[in-house]
Amino acid sequence: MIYVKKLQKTDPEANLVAEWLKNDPLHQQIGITMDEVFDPNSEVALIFDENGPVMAVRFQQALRVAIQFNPDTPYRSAKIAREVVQWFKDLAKKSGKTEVVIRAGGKAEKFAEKLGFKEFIGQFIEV
Amino acid sequence: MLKFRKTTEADRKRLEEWIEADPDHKDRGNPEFWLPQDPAEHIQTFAVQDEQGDVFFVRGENCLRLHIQFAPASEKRRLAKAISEFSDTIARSAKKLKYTEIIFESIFAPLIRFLEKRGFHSSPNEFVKDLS
Repeated sequence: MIYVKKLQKTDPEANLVAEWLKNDPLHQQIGITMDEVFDPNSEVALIFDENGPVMAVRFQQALRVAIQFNPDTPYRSAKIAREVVQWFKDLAKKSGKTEVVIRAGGKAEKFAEKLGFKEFIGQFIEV
Repeated sequence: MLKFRKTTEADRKRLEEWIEADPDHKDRGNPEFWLPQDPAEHIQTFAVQDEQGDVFFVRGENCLRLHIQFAPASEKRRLAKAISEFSDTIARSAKKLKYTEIIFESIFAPLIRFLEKRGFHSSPNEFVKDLS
């Protein structure tokens, strides 16, 4: 049976998370820091089992955006892309989100990078 | 100057045409995905217009992104049990809070395989932008 406790950077258990992070070669390799773990735009929880803390989870609220382009008007789409991204950001902010997530296929991958999106390898579940 | 309007059933035909002509969406897209479907607006659907008319259809929904720091691998058994229980718990909570999806980043193959058995799917072409 697990239980979940909200975790602040100043809580004593945060030291344990720092220790886990320090000894996690994969997370060290990608440069995750404790400042990032306790990003003020998100919440962190410590998950306990019957033997004590077993993992820490940071929750970030995102706006998932899907786009259907008009395939006949790529130049018109490109021309307004930056303005549309700003609109996505405004839409996200208005609903309390801290980031925008897209799943870009085909030519849209390069375009997403040009617009300042950062790629990641996701594992997702629909709920 | 851009304009944004909510999609309506009147957009169905145009959506069918665009999906059919889009090699990335053809055979796996459908107009319903882009049409209004949620009275409480947890899923929002829009058409984006420039001075010549519609350019994009957009769907926005709530996604919960997780970043996880595990205890060391020496706690593998405890971790497996906790991850399994946590993934069920968080999925139920997220649904109640009107999220439609949970996502996290991982390149660690054993974890990916473990979670695939619990209903997670790999999605290699994810992109994120923060609001700053």
